[in-house]
Amino acid sequence: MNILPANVTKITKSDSFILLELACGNSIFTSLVLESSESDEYTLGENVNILFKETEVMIATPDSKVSARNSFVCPISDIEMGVLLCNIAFDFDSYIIHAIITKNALLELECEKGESFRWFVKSNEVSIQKI
Amino acid sequence: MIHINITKPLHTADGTIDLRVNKEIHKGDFLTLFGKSGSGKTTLLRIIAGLETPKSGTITVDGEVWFDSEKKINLSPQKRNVGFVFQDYALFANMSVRQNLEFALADKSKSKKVDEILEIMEIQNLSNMKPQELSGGQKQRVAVARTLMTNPKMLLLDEPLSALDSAMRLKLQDELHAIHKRFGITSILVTHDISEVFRLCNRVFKISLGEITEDSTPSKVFSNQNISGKFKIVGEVLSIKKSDILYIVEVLANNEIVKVTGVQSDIKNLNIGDKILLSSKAFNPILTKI
Repeated sequence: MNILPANVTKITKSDSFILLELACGNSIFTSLVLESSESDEYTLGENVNILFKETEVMIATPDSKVSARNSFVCPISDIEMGVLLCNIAFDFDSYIIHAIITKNALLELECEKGESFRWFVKSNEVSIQKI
Repeated sequence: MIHINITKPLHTADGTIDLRVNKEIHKGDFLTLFGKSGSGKTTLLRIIAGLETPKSGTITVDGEVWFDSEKKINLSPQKRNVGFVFQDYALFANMSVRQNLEFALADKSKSKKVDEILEIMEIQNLSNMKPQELSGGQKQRVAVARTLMTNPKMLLLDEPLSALDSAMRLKLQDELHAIHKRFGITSILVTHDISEVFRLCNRVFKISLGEITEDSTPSKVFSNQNISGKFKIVGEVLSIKKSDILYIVEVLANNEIVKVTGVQSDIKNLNIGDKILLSSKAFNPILTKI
């Protein structure tokens, strides 16, 4: 699981949905969550963790336009090759983000260690962990 | 409303510690006492039932004083009218199921009550059988039925289902839930089974070395992760297998086996038998009519 510490900077509600903007270092993440009576309300300035699975992270070339709000261009620090899958590690500020994609996709994008690529994750795949 | 404010020395393997409880339990609560062996869970149940005497303090139930160390009040277990269910059933072996139930009746003229409870618990067909002819699940159903004979103010359940296999445990959990819903009896359960807590209880006291360290809902106590996922299941790790660069974790949840993928860091501190929380966002599950 990718885990990043963050701070709630904006809360927008619409019916049952809550769109949270979260600052992690100089980067802004967004997370779409469903309102729940049992979860405590989010408050501005609250420190939380951002969670998303490695298998939810997608990759594109740096100049690609994507709909995902959480989209960042970072250098690849490592690539672990499996048979069907591969695990790509990105240097994201002082954190490491892992993306697990199929090996075929990696070969097609010609990802290599040291090169910069775009990694992204949709807002509805980002969970919030209260701390 | 039950108000308990007591102390009692506990002699444990680690020496003598003090059981200290100062809590209110609301009418209709289904409460779990959760903690390691020797933390004081069973002692607290026995104190409420009147089977053990606290060193000091008071216990009042709906305004009636059950125990007051200063005023030297200590109601007998019979006068407290609580139902106590143990892991080992504690049925009279020489009596039939019906006789076991009749024995619990304070007023023997009300034998109609036996038929009523036999019917509610769906054990009419067992009424003439002796305990040794019954399965574990049937015996425990009779033990629960027997406690209901006296319209107890409270049900105290000391690991009642831990000796049963998982299918029977789930069935009896459903029955305990139905009984609680039907009669609204304030119930206190000692269990080590987290999924049981989630299925039955609205409140958990976490006890450690005689002190109640947490008092909240099951999801707050056990998912201290407090993740925003809306799809949450508590399960038990059955196996962890490497597959390509991922790991497949098999989890037993609600009597079904589900497989979940994880990476090395997810499974680093995970062992077979560990209880885990599976969570997924409300957006992920696919809805298919069947």
